[in-house]
Amino acid sequence: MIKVVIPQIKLKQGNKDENLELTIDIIKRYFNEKKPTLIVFPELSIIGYFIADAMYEAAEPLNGPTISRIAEILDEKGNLAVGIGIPELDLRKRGLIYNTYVLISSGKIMGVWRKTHLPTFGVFEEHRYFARNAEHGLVVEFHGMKFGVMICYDAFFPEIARIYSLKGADAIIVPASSPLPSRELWDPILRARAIENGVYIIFSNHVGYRDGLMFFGESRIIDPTGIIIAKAPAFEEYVLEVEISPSRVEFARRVRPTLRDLDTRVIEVLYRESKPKT
Amino acid sequence: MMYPNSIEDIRRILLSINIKETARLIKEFIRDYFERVGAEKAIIGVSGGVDSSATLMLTRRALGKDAILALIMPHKGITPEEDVQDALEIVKLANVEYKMINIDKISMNIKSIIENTGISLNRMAYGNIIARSRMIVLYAFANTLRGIVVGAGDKSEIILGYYTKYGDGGVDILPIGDVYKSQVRILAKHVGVPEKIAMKPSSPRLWAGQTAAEELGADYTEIDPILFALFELGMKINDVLSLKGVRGELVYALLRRIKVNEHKRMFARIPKIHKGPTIGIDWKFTIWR
Repeated sequence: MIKVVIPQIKLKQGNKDENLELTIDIIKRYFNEKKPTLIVFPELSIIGYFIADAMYEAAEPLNGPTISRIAEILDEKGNLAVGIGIPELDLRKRGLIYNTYVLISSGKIMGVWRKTHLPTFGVFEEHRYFARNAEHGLVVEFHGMKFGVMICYDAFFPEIARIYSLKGADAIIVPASSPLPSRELWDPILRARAIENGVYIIFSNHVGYRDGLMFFGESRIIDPTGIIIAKAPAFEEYVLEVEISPSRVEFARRVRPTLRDLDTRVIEVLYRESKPKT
Repeated sequence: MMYPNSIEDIRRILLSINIKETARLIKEFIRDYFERVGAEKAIIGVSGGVDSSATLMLTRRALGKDAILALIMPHKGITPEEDVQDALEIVKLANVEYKMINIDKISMNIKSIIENTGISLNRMAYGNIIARSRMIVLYAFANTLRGIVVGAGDKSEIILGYYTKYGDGGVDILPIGDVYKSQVRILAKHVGVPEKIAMKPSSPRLWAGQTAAEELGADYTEIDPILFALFELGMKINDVLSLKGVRGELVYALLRRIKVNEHKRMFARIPKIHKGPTIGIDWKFTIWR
């Protein structure tokens, strides 16, 4: 049994220092928590998501001040894990920036995920800033449950959730920065990903205005049978706390064994058909 | 939802807006912007029309009465007395501080100084002087009171460019700028604007007897479904033209207006010289703290 915490709080657009303090304040609330606790901040939480060309200035490497500071306060707090989003400066390929999500526990980075599908349409212009990642499948274990991460728009591509599930994930974290025009889409998308794979989906969204764009909140957790077990309100700050259990994953895969029934030959067809024809 | 095949179908979709949530989003937006820039006053020009009345009531709900200063700026011989009475009624209803400033002296002085050079200003030029005089007065208060100017333009007017550049377009925020005129009327009633103001025919009142319907060639009840079909439903022009009840010549007139007024929605054009970001072209920053 793991307690999942989704802090749907008003992070400040572009103010990393203040956001880091807000993040730490939330984490400190759980210092004396007995149960293993996973705190899931939204996509690019440290910058409040949308900051246009200030992104170049805000990007920092994985060993930069944000991750180091959080790792430092989580030192030896083995029953706490924290997920945060940063614009990550690539240390090997200078100048490249990724939309990155990091899970931290016991003073160390547990895992790093970089967004693959960078929305560049309508109100979004992520491809202007970020390099895309094509590697998926990292699953990390925390107190007996396995977690994968798909960042926001990645959830619209069922292949990603499938990869994590085949790699053994019990729950997939979906850190998001979703504004009003996408609001109606999330329930069907997230529930479908849960049902298709028999996994928990943990959706953590921003709340509040970024310039004229309202990030609507409604963070939620879908259980592996596809039921929304908790949902934060729209437009308001709210800290969601829900317990998740591996036994629900087992139950879901018993009553609707989608993962067992998946015919992998279909994936071979998908692979063959998705390659460009010459 | 059936695929719409008449103007009436589109009007129904347009008017089915979730008004309660729209009001809430606008209030949150005003509050967020106000706090973000550290303003102390919201300065609003109130004309007695539906847009400024709705904007005033929304701002009042967002910020409370003490954060607001309303300015009523009638022009003798152009602003109907009924508008002044309606403006007074709405500021009293909102229970906010207000000042009445006759704009005609300012505007006419500007006109006569310019005309002393030998040019004779046409009706449009003078109308725009009136709108810009109001902007000057609003910003004089804003600068002195650490305020922001809250504009009242709606989406229909902004799309059509039916406003004065640097006049009523010269503002800091446009809270109802994504709400079509027909929707503003519902929104206005929702936030307590009296029926007669909410349903009053639109007019910029830049000269005596001016009405939007006459100048635009139709009332907003006919214009809005066309704009909505084009911009919210993403319909192709040919599909809009084939809708039952649509007047083709109106569609073309609106499209022409949208095109020639594109400049009003842009920063002044600048020729790019450097590799770095150029304002109005690839300069992309947000207002963040």
